[in-house]
Amino acid sequence: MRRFLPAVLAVALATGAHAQGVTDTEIKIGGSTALTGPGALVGIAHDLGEKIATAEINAAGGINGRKVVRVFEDDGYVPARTVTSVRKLLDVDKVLAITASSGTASTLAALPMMEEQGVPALQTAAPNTVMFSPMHKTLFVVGRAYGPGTTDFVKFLAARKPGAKFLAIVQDDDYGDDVQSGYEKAIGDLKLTTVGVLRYKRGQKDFAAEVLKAKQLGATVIVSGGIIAENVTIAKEARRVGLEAEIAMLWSGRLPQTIDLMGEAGNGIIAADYVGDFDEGPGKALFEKARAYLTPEELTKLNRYSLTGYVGARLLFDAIGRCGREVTRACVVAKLETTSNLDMAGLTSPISFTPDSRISDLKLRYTILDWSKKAWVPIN
Amino acid sequence: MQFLADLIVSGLAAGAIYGLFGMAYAAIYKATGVVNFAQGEVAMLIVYLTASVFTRIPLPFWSALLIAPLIGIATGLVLDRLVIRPMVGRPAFAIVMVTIGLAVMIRALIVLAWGSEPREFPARAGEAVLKFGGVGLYPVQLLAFAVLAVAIAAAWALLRFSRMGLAMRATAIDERTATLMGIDVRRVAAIAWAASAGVSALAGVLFASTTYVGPDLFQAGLKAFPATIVGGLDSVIGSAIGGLILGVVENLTGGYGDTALKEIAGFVAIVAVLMIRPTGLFGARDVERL
Repeated sequence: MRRFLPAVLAVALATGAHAQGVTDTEIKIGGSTALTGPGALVGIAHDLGEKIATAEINAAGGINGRKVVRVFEDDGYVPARTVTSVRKLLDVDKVLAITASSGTASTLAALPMMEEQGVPALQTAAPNTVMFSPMHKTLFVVGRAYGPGTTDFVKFLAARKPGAKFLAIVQDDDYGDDVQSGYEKAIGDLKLTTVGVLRYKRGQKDFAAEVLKAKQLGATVIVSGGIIAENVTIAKEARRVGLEAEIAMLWSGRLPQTIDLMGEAGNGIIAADYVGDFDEGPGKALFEKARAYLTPEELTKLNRYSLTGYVGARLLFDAIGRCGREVTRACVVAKLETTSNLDMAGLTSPISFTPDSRISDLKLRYTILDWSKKAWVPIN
Repeated sequence: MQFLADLIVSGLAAGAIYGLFGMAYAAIYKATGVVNFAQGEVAMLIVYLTASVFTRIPLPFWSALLIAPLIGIATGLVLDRLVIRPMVGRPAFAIVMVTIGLAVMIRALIVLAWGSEPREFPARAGEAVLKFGGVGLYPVQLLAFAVLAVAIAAAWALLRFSRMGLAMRATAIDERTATLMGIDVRRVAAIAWAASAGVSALAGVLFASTTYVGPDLFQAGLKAFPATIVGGLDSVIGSAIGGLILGVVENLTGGYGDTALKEIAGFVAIVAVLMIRPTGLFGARDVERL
């Protein structure tokens, strides 16, 4: 048998054998996010972002002449379903790379399978420290890690409001741990005044006690480590109890729906994000382009997670493109880790990775919510 | 002192909604001896139905407090006819399992029918903050107090003075004997489900107006379950009071203790109360003749 092996390989090469998910005419990629359930606000938006990027590259002739085909699975933001979805994508659909695997727990659950097969994988929705520290060879995280992101944000807030008394309200999970560590680092670095860190149970709906405590402690800047609903409730409670503190929140809740839900109570809230908006600058240009690829109903579902999905897909396409015609998983991983200052047309700061780092650490931008315009306005 | 007053009033505001949910649990238990674990989901379904009406027909918020209970009563009757009535005569455990299945079905149905995006309730109760001795409340929170007071009065009158109230109590004690005494237990169950859904409709609409309409709204019902255990599972009015107690206990725990303990405070209260009074603060004691 051994003596026939070179011949078999030669025949295979001559007839165009390719890496999994790659043929002469197409490249198949896959992703798994919540397209139903409470996480769908994120998952659908992400899916649409990738859809725009894919349509755009295919309209330009594909990657080195190969069309990109996407397979997307709904995992409902349930880790066990993500594992099943990713297994299907790898074993049945036979995709080359995985562009999404829902949140932190879902990605970590599917990671051993992806690592075992050397699958290039992206995470653009949840830049949690556990995703890249310790480093996983094939998993690339696009964004700004929650911890360092919070540190930057608190330093920005401190410069904006000298002498402020800070307080953080954080969730009792790994996301909250990241936010808290970043918060405490900024407090320590700049020797800022903190009046406390309040932790709350995930899924909590009533924040009266937390906000009243913040008022009692004299906080003048509250770093709200909520996701979506938590930030809404904290803002409403602050208005009710007459807490005249500046409320600051991270990107996870910076969605159009949040503005509506907060109502007037959201006016003046400051947010940090590593992507812009669809109603200004490069985001607006992308929105106009998206009209050609999405239905009117789909256009209404775009949010910041569409931008992160779009950016992630563009990053992957760039890496595949740099592999030329010989696309393999190993090559894509190698190209991803040598990505340097990849320009994203202003949607984010340029993206870079190194062989020793799997977080792109994008630059943050800061916005303030203008209720009268119902928009996030950039802070210069 | 102001801090304490703020915590208590905020706790009562949250507790008023817990209390309404608690009354809804107790209404079904009192009449049928069954705990409806789909209470939060039923409320969520009614809120979505009500929100759909208000999206199509712009009406003032106060009308939601009339329309939602009507939708609730209709929903309760339909659920009783389709899901509960076929189970009459079966062990209570089997019916409880059916309610758990119903909960899962409603959650899935809501996402299928309305999607998963959180949205604001289409009618607003007003965003002005009303001040009472330095304590601020939104109009919807004041309404919650008023609605709870009316619901307590109505429940008291129904149970104290009406034949239906007596029939509900008799059915809860012994369904078979009640049937032999000429009580139409199916009708009693149907009325209990309708009344329960009507009350939980009010709780759901008030809760959604302070937060949002979303597919996780059912958790508010689940959260209120300790209220009915503390107050007494077979005491409709006791469950309402249990809700107020739960809201205040949670807020005082969060205000003076660790905020992370706030969410478990209700369950600590359950353990403490049940150790002293196994039937809850206002629940009837079981007395058996030996």
